[in-house]
Amino acid sequence: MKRENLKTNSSCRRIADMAWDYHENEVGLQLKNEIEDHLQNCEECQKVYQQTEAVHREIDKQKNMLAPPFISTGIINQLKNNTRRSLSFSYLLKPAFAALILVLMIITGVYTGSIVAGKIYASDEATETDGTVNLIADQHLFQEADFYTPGFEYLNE
Amino acid sequence: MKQLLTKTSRMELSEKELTQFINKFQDKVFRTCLGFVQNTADANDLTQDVFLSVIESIDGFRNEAQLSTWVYRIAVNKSLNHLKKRKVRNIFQSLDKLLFKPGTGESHHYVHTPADEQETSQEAARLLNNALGKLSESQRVAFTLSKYDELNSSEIASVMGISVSAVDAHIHRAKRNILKELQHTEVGQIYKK
Repeated sequence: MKRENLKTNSSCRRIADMAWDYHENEVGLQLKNEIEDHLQNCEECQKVYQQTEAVHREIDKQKNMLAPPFISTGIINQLKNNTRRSLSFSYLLKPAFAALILVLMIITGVYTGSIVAGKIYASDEATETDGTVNLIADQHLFQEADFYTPGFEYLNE
Repeated sequence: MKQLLTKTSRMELSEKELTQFINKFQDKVFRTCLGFVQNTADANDLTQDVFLSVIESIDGFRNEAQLSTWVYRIAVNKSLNHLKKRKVRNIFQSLDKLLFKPGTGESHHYVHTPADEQETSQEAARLLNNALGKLSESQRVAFTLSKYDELNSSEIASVMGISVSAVDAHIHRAKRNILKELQHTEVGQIYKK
């Protein structure tokens, strides 16, 4: 059953729009009497008002409901679990993790340092060897060329 | 609650203080959540969730707002997030039913009531849930805090962070929209009183 009359009849629409305020006693005395007169004679508006009442009853019923008992116990237990978890992480895992990282860094540092030091030593040796080779090659070339080059007098000696 | 406000960290709160705090606010938080989700089981889960969030973030509370306002704000945000998630879940469930299980009816779990009143009450609950579902987010928040928690306009304004006149306008529009929804509803079980 649709509320077709409400859509066309402006007085019904007006009353229906005020059903909520009427139920909550938020209308003046004159308007209240007008609504009551209308409701007595209009079946459609009565139905809207009954639905409004039903919705109000439902809200009142829900409003009077209480939270389940012992809800605080559940919440505190959950908090304890969370705290225990966070405590164990912050007080045990975090320092352990930091110590592990530190040890790893020291090992990596020592290892990298030894590699770098080894490379430097090796390159120093290579440079010394290269110098000797070059000197011998130069000597050989200059001896063959047998000409005077300023700054290389010692080669011809 | 003064003790709670002076503590700077939740680590400083004793179990007794926490219990006092939860007992003071549990019914209010439960009612707020129930007003949004219209389901006791979900409201219960949400209440626990709200308190965990409140207590875990108590370090961030700096007395700028009243403690109750802060708790309500968290309860409202959690409830709205829950509704958004439920909406997405319902879409997927509808798709699932449409594609894989055609013909199975949708099941709603409204507030539990005794058997004698169950039919009428379920119809009213369905009606209320549908009407609330048609409201905008702001209208729904203002309406729920006003009708379920009986907060006044200025308290609602503090929770929502808007002006008192805006709150009044939201409540007025919410009532009008609920009535509009009721006017377009088929006559059902409700009249079998």
